[in-house]
Amino acid sequence: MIDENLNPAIVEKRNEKLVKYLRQTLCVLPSAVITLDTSKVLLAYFAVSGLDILNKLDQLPHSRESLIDWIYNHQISETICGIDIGICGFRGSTTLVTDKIKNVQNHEYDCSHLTMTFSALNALLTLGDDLSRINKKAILTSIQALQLLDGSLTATSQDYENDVRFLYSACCICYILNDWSFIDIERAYSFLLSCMTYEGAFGQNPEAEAHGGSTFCAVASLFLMNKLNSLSKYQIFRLKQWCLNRQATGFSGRVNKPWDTCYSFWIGSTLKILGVLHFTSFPENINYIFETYNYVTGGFAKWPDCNPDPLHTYMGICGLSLVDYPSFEKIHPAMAISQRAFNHLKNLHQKWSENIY
Amino acid sequence: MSDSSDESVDLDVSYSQRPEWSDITPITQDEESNQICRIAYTENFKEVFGYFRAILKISEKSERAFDLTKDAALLNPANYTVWYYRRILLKELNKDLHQELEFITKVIRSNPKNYQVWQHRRCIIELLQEPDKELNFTEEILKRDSKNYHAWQYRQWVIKTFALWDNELDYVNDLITVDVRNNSAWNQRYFYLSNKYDLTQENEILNREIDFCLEKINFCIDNESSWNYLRAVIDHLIKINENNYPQKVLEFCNIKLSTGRDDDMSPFLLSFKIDFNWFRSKEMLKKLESNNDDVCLKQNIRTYANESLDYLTKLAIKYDTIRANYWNYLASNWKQEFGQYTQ
Ligand SMILES: [Zn+2]
Repeated sequence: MIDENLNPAIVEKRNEKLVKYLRQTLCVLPSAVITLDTSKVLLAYFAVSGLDILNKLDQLPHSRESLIDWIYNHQISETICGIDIGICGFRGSTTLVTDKIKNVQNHEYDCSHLTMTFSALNALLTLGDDLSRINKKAILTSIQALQLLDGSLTATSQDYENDVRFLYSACCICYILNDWSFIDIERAYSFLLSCMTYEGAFGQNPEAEAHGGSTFCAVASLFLMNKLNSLSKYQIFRLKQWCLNRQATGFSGRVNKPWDTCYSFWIGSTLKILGVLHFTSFPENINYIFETYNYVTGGFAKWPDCNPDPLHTYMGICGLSLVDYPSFEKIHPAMAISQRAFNHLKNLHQKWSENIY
Repeated sequence: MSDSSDESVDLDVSYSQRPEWSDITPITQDEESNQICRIAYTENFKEVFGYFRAILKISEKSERAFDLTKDAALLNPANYTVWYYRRILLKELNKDLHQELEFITKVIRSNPKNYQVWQHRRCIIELLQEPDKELNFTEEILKRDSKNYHAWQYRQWVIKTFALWDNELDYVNDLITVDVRNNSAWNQRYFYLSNKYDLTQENEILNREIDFCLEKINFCIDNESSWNYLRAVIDHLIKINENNYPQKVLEFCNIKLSTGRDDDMSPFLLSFKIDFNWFRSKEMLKKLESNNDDVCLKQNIRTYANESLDYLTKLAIKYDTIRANYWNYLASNWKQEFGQYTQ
């Protein structure tokens, strides 16, 4: 069974199906995913980046230009009242858009979402866009407005849900735009530390149970803001051990919880950032991910015999890439895009720095 | 992903047929944007959100708008703007908050893993300042899924905000008795303890927790939850007692390790002892720097190193093979650091 997963003919066949699933995600989705109605930009990022990791970006179901234009359509660059309280950035979909002109806030309740801004930027980078239509200043000012006193960030100007997920999105955005001056790094750092639990990993907010997704968000944020070295040796030791202990065959997201395909990415990437992924068993991991593969539709689910969904499909692909699955492009573990897209970003940074002089 | 609640929205009369809505022209979703990642919306969804967009555009604060947000929220409980707008209307129209609490109770029951619905409940309780039913409600949800992250986060918020600590330890104890591997319950125990006491001071409390852990480990040795908790308690104790390790923990470990029974050879026990040996040996290495001739110290290091290398081999080839690479790496660390004392 384990060898079968690496058999070139089988790999090729499964890749074809995966491509089909990702293309479908970019076209039409069933009404069962209605709770993702405000997160279409996230879905597009999963699908586009998934195709990129499969080295199949040439099989996009739409032209690159139309996809890029579509993503930019979600950008709010200007508010109605002129001041920004966290409005600018990307919406997740046009489900509440009311006007023909989309890059201006349409109404009082029209606002961006940090995870969607992060997703839009990642998708644009993956598609090779040069980010020239991004309103950096507006996005960064918005991030500044969304940061709370404790260092955490809310996702939007509308809810006060604040946790490590949105801090992670903000860190990615600052990293991509190559400007950290709008975020209070010291406060962000102390918020992250307050999310570290007695188990040695991170919870979604202070005192919440240690969780694989939160741990990824925290560790990737620390890495991106260059603060990973501020943790003590003992903290790093406990963190690594907690993450390594998550592997059963696949990975679990919490102690004594069943394993789930998405944690092959959340925990896998965390371990990669910490430099200890090679201490896990790659074959067992790959084997589990394919136990959740759907031979009809081509996507991955969280558990065997469950319905696949775009998130677990993308996380499964990323999880496989991390453990050197044949034919897959490597991913950048903290940014969750292909190494190729990341190199493109590095080139952009180079260009931007030359333009200053 | 939570289930769609579409079924629960039964529009007896379509909005376009209702005389009270005749002055509103629904705004359809922009077709051009809908070409990519299109969701196959139901007719109900299209209609309700058409009217919802129109209402948002003019920011209408009315009873009919309030009713509309109910349909919109049930169609997509993850749409945070719908809930946000509904809260604005709740305040503006002076709605009955108890009724709203009843409504959100029903919605959470059918969408217990959705972020927005728990946020909404929190907002209502903040306005009401009546937390009386909240512990019971989270218990109801946790009865169905004792590890529901949202329910636990919400419960912690309620307890902290309204200082409802009195029965929490009993609740946690009950949960751990029912399922000793319920890590959410262990986390809640730590939450309770660290809020109730200053753990940098409370020798007695920490010792009580050690006893609790050892009892639970004795009952079920291969349980990461109790071992993780034990490590945290010990870390606090060591700080208070200047590196004096709780002797009873070592005695417990040694008894388990000496039985030789496979059932007792939990990877958590072995790695716990290996880590203890490591930090102890490092301390002794430091002492050796000032007194290089201490034969007794060298002998102790040798004992620790040999024991650890033995356990690491057992972990790698028998008891925890999936992490074999890690155990082998730790073994090479031991050899590098203390190899000269093992010969
Ligand atoms: Zn999952």
